[in-house]
Amino acid sequence: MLIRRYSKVGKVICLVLLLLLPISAQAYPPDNAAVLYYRAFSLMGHQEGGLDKALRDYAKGKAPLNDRVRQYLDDHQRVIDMINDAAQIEHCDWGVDYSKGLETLWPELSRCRESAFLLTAHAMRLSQAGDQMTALNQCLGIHRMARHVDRDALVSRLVSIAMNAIANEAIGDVASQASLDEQALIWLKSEITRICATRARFSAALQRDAQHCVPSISLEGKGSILKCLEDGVPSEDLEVISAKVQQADQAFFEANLRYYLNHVAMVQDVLDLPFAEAYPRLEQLGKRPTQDAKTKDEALIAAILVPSYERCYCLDIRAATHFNAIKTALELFIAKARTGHLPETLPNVSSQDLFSAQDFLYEKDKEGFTLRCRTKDPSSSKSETYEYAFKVKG
Amino acid sequence: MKENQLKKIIGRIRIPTDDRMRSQTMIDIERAHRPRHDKRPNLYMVRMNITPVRITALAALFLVLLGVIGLSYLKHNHHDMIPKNRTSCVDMLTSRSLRMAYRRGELEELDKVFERVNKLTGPRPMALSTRELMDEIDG
Repeated sequence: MLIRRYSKVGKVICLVLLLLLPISAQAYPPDNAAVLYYRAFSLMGHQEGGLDKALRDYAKGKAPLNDRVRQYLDDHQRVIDMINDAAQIEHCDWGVDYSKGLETLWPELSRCRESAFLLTAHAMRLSQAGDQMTALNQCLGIHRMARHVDRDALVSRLVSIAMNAIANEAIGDVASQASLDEQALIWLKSEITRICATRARFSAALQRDAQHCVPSISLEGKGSILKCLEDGVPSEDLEVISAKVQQADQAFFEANLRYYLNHVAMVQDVLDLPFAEAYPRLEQLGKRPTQDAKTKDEALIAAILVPSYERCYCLDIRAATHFNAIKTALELFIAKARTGHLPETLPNVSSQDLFSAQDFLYEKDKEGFTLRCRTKDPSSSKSETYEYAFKVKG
Repeated sequence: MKENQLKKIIGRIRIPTDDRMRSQTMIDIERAHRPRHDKRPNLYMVRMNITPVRITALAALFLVLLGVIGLSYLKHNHHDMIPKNRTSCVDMLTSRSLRMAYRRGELEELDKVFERVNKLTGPRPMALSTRELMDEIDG
C-alpha cells in the first residue's frame, strides 16, 4: 500500500519535471551571452552614406543628434535591448576554435566595436532626454560587453580596452550633466569597482595570447607565419626571412617556440614591477627579438609575431587609470552630494594615477574640476599627459 | 617628290658631281620642297628658348620627381594600408590578420579593418516573409 502511494507521488513529480523541462529550455535570456549577441548582430543594419561617422561623432559628443542618427537609434531599439540583456549574462562562449592558432576567427570583434558606438549614442540620447540613470546603466553595459570581448588573443584585449575608453568617456559626460543623489553615485561607483575587479590582469592576457599563438609556431603553421610576413610591417630582410621560414624544419619551429615563450615569460616578469620601472625594461625587451633575429634564426618568429608589448601595456595602464579617474571623480561627486560643495583636496580613498603610482593632480575651476596624471604616457607619439575634466551641476 | 624627278633636275645641272654630293643635293632639294609651315619656327618656343632636348629633359625630371613623391607617399602610408589582396572577411578576421593590422597601425588600423568588414558583411534582411519561403520551397 505504502509502496503504491510512493509510486504515485513519484509519477506526479516526474510529470511535473517533464512539464517544466520545455519551459526551462525556452527560458530567456539564455545562459550564454554570445547567443544573444549573435542574434543582435544579425539584425544590425548597414550604416551607409556616412551614418557610421555621424553615429560615432554623436556618441563622442562631437556632433548634435541628427534625423538619420535618431531614426537609426529608433530602428535599433530591439537590437540595443538584446545587447544589454546579453551584457548582463555572466557566461559568454563565442564558440571560438582556438586550435587554429593564428587562423582563429574573431567575427564578433568588429560587431562588438560597432555596437559600443550604438550603445554610447543611445546613452547620450537618454542623458539628453534627462534619464541619466538609464544612460549610466547603458554605459556600464558597454563595460560588461567589453569583459565578454576580452578573450584569448591580445587583439581582443585591445578591442576591449577601446570599448572601456568609449564607455568611460560617456560615463564622465553623463555624470557631469546629471545631479545624481548620493545613493545613485555610491551605486555607480560600486558597479565600476566591480567591473574593474573582473578585468583580467595584463600579464594574464599576455599569457593567454602566447598560448593562443602556440599552434601556429609549428611546421603545420608555416603558412600562417608566411602570411604574417605578407601582412606585417615591411622590412628590408623580408625575402631572406621568408626564404628561411619556407625552408624551415621541425627543429627550427621548436627552437622558435622555445624562444617565443621564453620572451613572453621575461615580459611577464617585468609586468609585476611598478610602471615606472617596468616601462623602460619593456622597451629594452621589445627590441630584443628584432636584434636577435639578425644573428639567431630561433628569434625570427618572435620578431614577426610579437607586437610592441610596451605600447599595449601603456594602453592597458591608460584604461585602468581612466577607471581610477572615474572612481575618484565619483568620490568627489559623493562628497559634493553630502556637503553641498567640492572638497579642497582629494579624499583619502581616491584611486591612483597608475602612470606615476600617485594620486591625481586635482584642480577645481568654475565649471567643476579636472584630474590630471602626473607623468606623461611614454609610449604616446603625442607625448600626452592625460587629464579628465568633469562638470558639476549646482 | 619622287626620286626620278629629282634625278632629272640634278641631271640638268652641269656640275661635276660624285655620289656623295649627289645624295646630299637630293636631301637638300627634298628639304626645300617640304611645306613651309614645317620649317616655320614656333615663336613661343623661340622666345622661351625651348628645344626638344630641353623638353625631354624636363619630362624626365618630372617623371623622376613623380616617382620620388610616389615612393615617399607609399613609404609613409604603408602602415595604414590594408593589404589589397585581402578581400575575404574570413581572412581579415583571423587572429593573424588582426594582429598584423595592429602592428601596422595600432587601433586605428584595426578600426579600418573592422569598417571594411562591416561594409562587406552588411546589410542583412530585417524580416523574412513566409510567402518568400513558400515560393522558394515550391521552386
